[in-house]
Amino acid sequence: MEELFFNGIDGSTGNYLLPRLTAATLSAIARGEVQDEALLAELKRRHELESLGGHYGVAGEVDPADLSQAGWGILFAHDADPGVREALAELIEWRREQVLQKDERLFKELSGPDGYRPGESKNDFLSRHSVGPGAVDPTKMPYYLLIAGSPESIPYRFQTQLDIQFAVGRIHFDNLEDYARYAHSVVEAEKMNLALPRKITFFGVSNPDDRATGLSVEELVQPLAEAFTEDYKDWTVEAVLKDAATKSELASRLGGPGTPGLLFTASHGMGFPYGDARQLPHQGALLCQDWPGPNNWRKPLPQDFYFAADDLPEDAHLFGLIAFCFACYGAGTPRLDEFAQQAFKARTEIAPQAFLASLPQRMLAHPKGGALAFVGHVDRAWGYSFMWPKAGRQLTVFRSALSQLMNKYPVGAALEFFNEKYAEISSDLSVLLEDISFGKTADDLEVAGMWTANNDARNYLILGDPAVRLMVGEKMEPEVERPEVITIIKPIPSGRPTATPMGPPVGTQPPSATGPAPGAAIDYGLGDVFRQAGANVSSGLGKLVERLGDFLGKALDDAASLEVATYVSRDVAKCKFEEGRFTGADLRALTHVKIDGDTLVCVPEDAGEVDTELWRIHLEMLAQAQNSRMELIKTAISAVTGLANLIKP
Amino acid sequence: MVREAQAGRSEGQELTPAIFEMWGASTEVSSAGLSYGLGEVEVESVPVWRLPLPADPAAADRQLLDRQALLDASRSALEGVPESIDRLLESSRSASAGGVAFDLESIPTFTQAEADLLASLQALRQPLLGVSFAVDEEQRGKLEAAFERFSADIDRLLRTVSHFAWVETAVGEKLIARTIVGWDGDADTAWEAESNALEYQDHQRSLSQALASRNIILHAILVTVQSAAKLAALLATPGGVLLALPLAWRFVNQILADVEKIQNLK
Repeated sequence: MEELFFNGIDGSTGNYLLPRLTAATLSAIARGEVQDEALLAELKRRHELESLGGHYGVAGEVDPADLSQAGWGILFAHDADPGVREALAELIEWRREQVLQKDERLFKELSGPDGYRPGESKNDFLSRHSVGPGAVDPTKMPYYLLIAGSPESIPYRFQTQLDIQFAVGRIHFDNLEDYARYAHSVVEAEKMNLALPRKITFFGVSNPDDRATGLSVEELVQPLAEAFTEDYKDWTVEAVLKDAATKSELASRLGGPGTPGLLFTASHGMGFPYGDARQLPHQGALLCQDWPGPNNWRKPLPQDFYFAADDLPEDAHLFGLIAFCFACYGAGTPRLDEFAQQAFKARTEIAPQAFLASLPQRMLAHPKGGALAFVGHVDRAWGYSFMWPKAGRQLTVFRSALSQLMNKYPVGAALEFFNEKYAEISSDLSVLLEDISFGKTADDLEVAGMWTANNDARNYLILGDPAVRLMVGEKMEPEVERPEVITIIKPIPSGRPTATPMGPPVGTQPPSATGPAPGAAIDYGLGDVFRQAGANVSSGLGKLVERLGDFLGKALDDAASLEVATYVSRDVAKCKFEEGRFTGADLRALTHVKIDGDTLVCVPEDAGEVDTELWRIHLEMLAQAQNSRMELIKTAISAVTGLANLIKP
Repeated sequence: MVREAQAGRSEGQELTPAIFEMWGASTEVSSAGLSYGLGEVEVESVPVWRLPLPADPAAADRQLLDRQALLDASRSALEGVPESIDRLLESSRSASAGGVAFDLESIPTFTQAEADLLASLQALRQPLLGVSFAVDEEQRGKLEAAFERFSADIDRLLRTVSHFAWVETAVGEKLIARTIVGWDGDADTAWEAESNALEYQDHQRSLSQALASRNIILHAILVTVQSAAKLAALLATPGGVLLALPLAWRFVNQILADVEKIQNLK
């Protein structure tokens, strides 16, 4: 009897997350699944068009790799915390600049009433924005869409639906600082034109007595490593396989000195029971070769066996990394177990809420400069990703996607191969199920395989901005120390704003140029004069740093709120400003916005009616104030951190 | 030795860009009854952005457009500084790698400000290239003076950006609006009751320019710091950073002053 395997280990017991299931069982599940007709129609359209040599994705005349043609947008939940938008302002403004060079319609911020509304399907959402199915017209809705929000506020299912047509990524963090850190990493990497060494690492675990990882290393990771070694002579292609694929070796390549530009891993992902204390922090963590396998270890797994978010040290060097991690729950976990949906006649909850895996969250928002994107799996990852019944190894999708990444395609465009596969399998599966409903006798294994492969292909997600690219140099260069970035310091909604210097700053060149130049310690006879002069001026420099630091501290203190007041006077020249307000003038409109979103608004009246002209002016002044503050904070932070780095020993 | 800029600038001559001079400090402010939680700030030091516009709307519009053009050009020039510094460093490194002095004549594409910076860099790097270098009190004094000027400039400009300011717009003889604006955008605006739509717009434009100029000042400081970091690496001496800051500051000032010249020619 055929059995199906998937990647995932229950860390609390040491057993597999799901028992091995027979094809007959899975087939029954597939036959009973309720299909989303609209979604199926969309998937069929895509598959049929591509079968005819046509093109889904963006419209034919648009180059999907060119952001200024394909457009970029960001999507918030309708009730999203405005602080998230503010924390992401640096990235939003940067993308706006890139996109608006050609056409203002290519940039969209979808929030408030334009944002995602609870329960909306992809088609509902797009219809509301006058967008129908088919190839993307980026002037109606940008091709690259970044979802900013939790999977509870904007469900995973919506993301996977939207991804059929668009290039979609998601970010969600537990605090505003992490949003700002991620935004800053992306912008810094692109502005400085980060040039990491051309290095890809394949990390393939093969735990003893474990068929799943045995299969993934033999049929996925190793063949991919061999193929890329052959095809990319001007890249360093590293394979860390089987016994070498230990946690310490992964640590070396996930923030350590061996961190590549592009990292591909295949392993089990950790899973924990509903409500387990480790579920939120460790679900989706990568189980390494240290686990001796199911026959030799049948008890809870210690963290020594797997690599989790809290294994990433404060001084990790991840800046610019793109990671593709094939593992159960590697990207996140849904609240409801879709796999058990029909098998057990009720959808069980596998977690108190849908959530993103902590490891990629920490990677993306790392304080020393984060990874740019993480590609992973929500729910279980299956062997059908790379094997097909009777056909054997299937690597084209992985190979194509990785090739596109190495050729600096935006990650959202590079991952289209997975969407195409999803469309094809879904289309074929719906036809098969329709035939079965009319009496066709089907092979259980075929049905089960297509169903699982369908879910598997659907559940690959991008965490991060779908428009980021792999930032590697133009030629193979020796490995140098990875640059770091200063994290933008953002005010926290409650309490005193904190300034968190995050390591040495980046500047706009590799560390070799920012650090002491060769021979800096050599005294060429100038040492004395500089030391003497330095003694006189260093106090001035210190004062300057102190002054800038004070300025920044005050900036953050004051940034917790914004107040704009509009007065009218019969004689402005005689107005006095006392105790924080004008005297000799009438206060007609006031807006007080707190960082946590609380807003106090006083609207001007004229004979019982709203004075629309004055209100319009007031709103314009408010918008002006907000923009000015954002710009000034951004520049001030950069100046202070740059100077602090300049004078540090 | 620290060699002064070549061609067109006499020794000791320093330029102050107009963009830094748009802000004044007026004691008139105090007579208007100022109390804004000044703390340590003296009344006399309150930055004032005052824009008297001609009564003729077309002339007023032209004046605002000219000022905006200068601001835009200054911002754009600052954005080009990092690239300019990189180009200079590359040129400097390639020259020193060959053990030869800079030959400015062979680099005709450099602007005057870039050429001046190159000359200064060349002078500072000569000892590293084996040229004799006599250390004396005069040179030490120049070094200190350059840094003092830099420090004083920064101090003055930081006062402009880090405290509230008055922004006033007058059309003809009439003061049409006064805004008290905090560094962070907090704004209280008193409008003349009889102002018309055009006058509203004039003050909004003026306020926008005032805010933009503050950001440009801060941006100039940022660019200076970034540039100094690069130059210090090139100088490769224990006190390189102390030289690099005033050198970078002078370069940024020259760039902005050149922008003004170009704008005046238009």
